[in-house]
This record gives sequence, structure tokens and C-alpha cells, in this order.
Amino acid sequence: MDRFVVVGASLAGLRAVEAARKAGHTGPITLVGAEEHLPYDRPPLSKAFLAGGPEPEVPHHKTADELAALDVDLRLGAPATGLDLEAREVVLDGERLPYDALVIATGASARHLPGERLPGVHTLRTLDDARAVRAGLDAGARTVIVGAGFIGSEVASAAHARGLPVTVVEGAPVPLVRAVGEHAAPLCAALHDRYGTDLRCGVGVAALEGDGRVETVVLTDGTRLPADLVVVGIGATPATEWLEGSGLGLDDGVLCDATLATAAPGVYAAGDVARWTSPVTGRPVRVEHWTSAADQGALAARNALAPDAASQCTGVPYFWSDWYGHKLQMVGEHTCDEVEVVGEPGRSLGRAVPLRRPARRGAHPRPARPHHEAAAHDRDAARAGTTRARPCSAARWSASPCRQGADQRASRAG
Amino acid sequence: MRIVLDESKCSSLGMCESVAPDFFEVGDDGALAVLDSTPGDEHRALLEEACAACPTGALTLED
Repeated sequence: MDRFVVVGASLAGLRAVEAARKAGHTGPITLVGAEEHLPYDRPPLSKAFLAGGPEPEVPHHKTADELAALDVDLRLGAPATGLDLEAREVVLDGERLPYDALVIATGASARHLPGERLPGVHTLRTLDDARAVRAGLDAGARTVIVGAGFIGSEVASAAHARGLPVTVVEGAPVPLVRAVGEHAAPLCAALHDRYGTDLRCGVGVAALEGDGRVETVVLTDGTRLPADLVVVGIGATPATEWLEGSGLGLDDGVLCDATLATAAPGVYAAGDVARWTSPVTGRPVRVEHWTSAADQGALAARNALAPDAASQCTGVPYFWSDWYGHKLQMVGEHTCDEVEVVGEPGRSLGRAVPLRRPARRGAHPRPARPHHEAAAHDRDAARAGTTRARPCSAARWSASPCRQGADQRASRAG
Repeated sequence: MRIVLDESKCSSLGMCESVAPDFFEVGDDGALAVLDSTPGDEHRALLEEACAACPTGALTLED
């Protein structure tokens, strides 16, 4: 019976295991995770998990019992250290796991600032990171965020919601231009202003100073910001160190084709770590969004176990982020022909998600979920069975007030 | 088969609606309406996909 091994026990890895069982795989499955924790969901860590009050429940994807029902051999706290393509074995510390089919879903690691890591300085990627940041906020920290991206901005929102002083330092003149494009980026920046967060753009961090723990953030313009908590949100790099020297093609991620297959037999990749050639755009892309990880994990497993019936990964990027009680969403790629901003902060449209619904649902344009677009692209691409030259002709972006009370409810989300 | 919505977890992203618009609809007020909470078994695969698409795990199917 085929031995199926999944390396990486976060969303993509877990979805790979679930999809394998759902596809009827009855052979042994091993799920290898670097962290000790049962698989958990990362988006809440920079959102509801940081809210004031008692620590929210850890947003585990599955209970131990639910995992047991999948009949999966869990190896947690056991980071993979190497891959032997010839022997078809994953190398752990002191053990080798033979595979017939393998999905690599090791995700990405938070980028750090160069230099010594003083206590009080954190990135935010893991549950342990989130607990450390929470503890800082609980202690009423003067907070400095390095990087005005999504993680940084969400932490700033959390600090603001607790009434703590927070400063965001961003090297670029306008934050997030690369992520959301020049149309939507200024709208994001405006949210910080609107809620009184001190956003300083076009300035870098020269040094983090402190005696035993961080006390001051020194900026490149000479400004000295007092700080008890520094959260560094300057992006993530794909977790491929363990694959170096394995012979697997690596280039800012694990290189895959449109079916998420690497050049090595039986080896697939999914999620943040995968750089795959999109059949939609024909370009290699690496996407760090939740929906991509979920979809790709399942697809990689199905393709790995039935390569002759492999289907292509056609998803359109979609993400959401919660800032100051606003839900920001974007679907599509902003590097496309047209970006349509359908909701913006400061002009509340009174709707949860004011993106237009496709006309098929009725004569009048109605608020809609952006994923309608993505789903429509998926269906079209699947129907055509081929590459569409420019299906992503428009990106849509919206920022809209969260439903009243949604924050409180979300804080219990698991 | 019954669709169970945990409102305490729902954050109104509408992923479910994008997968199965005949069964889910996020209203203008942001509240998710389950349009048919006891669907026939022929919709199982679609609804499993819709539940799996929920980033907050707010939807489950019960038999």
C-alpha cells in the first residue's frame, strides 16, 4: 500500500491528509510537524487572539480525537531535516520516513531584523510568537511595529483596541503597494491615520537598543522611540532550508508545475512554500494566503496519489485582513489591467462586504463575496481545461466595517 | 443531513456562499443565512466543500 507522507502540519498539510482519506487512500499517512502543537489556524493569531481579556482558546483545526479519526501517524515537534530523493525518504532527527507519495507543506518563516534578538522583540507567525506578543500587550507595552504590512497592521489594531500607544514604522513611502497595488495601498494607510496610530513611512530601523531587553527603537532619521514591545512584520521566507542539497528545484520556494508536482517523482508541494506555475497567468507564483494553502494542500494530495488524473491549480488569490474593526479584502492580482475599489474606509456603505455580486443572481448589482469572482475563474478555467490568457483582468478591493459584534464573536473562533 | 452554523465563529467572509450560493447568503447586515439547513444527500459533496472553505470553522454537517 502506498505510503503517503506530508511534511508540514499547518493548514496545507492538514488539508492534504484530509483530502487523501477523502480520496479513498487507505494506506499509511504520516504528518510531520516542526512545532509541538496540534495543527492550528494562523490568521486569528494576529487578530482575535491578541484581544484583551483572558487568552482565547487556541484555534486548533482539529481535536486530537478528530485527527485520530483520520488514522494519521502524527510526528509533532519533529522538524524534517532532509530529503533523500533517491531513496525516497524524508529525514527527521534520527529517523527516515520512506514515502511513495510526498507533499511538502512546510510553509514560510517570519523574516527577522538583522542582529541580536533582544527580549521584547518578536515576529508573529507561530502560536508561541502570538502568546509572547499577547503577554507584552497584557503588560500594557508601548508598542512599536516594524513593517506596515498585514501582520503589523493587525497587531497595531490590537494594540489600539486595548488603548495602548502604538507606532508603526514602514520603510516604503506608502505601505503595502506591492501587496495590494497603488490604488488600495493609500486607503490602507489612511486607516492607521483615522484611528490615531502613529504611522511613519519612508524611514527604517537603525537599531534596537536596550539593557537586557528592548527599550528603544532608533530610526534611520535619528528618532528614538521608547518601546517595551517590538513586533517585526517584514514578511516571510519559504521554509526550504531542510531541502537544500536534496536536488529538489528551489527558487524562493519549491518549484512546481501547474499540478503542484515537483520534478522529483511522487513529490508535490503546497501552500506558502510552493512556487507553482499558474495555468491562469503562465507565471510562477508563490502565494501566502489562507485559501491558497487550503486549496493547494488538498489538490497536491489528490494529484500525488493519482498522478495520472492530476488536475491543475487554478485558484485566484484572495485574502482578508482585519484592521480597526474593518474587514479588508482583495481578490485577484493587482498587477492586472484594472483594479476596482468597491468599498473604502471612511465611507461606510453599511454592508459587511460591499463587493459586487455577479449579475446572474438578479437584475440589480448586490453586495457579494469576492470569492464569487475566484470561483467563477476556477470554473471557467476548469471548463476550458486550458490556460486563459488574462482571466484576472480585474482585482477588487474592499474595506468595510465588520459586522457589529463580529469581533467579540471572532474572538472565540476556533 | 443538517447544516449547523456556529454564529459565534462566523465572521461573514462568505467563503461558503462562493462555493454553494444556493445554500448560503451573507446579508447586507453581514449575517449569514443558511437558506436550506436540511438539504438532500445529493448536495453532500458541494456542502462538504463549502464547510471546508470556512476559515473560522463555523460550519459543520450533521447526519
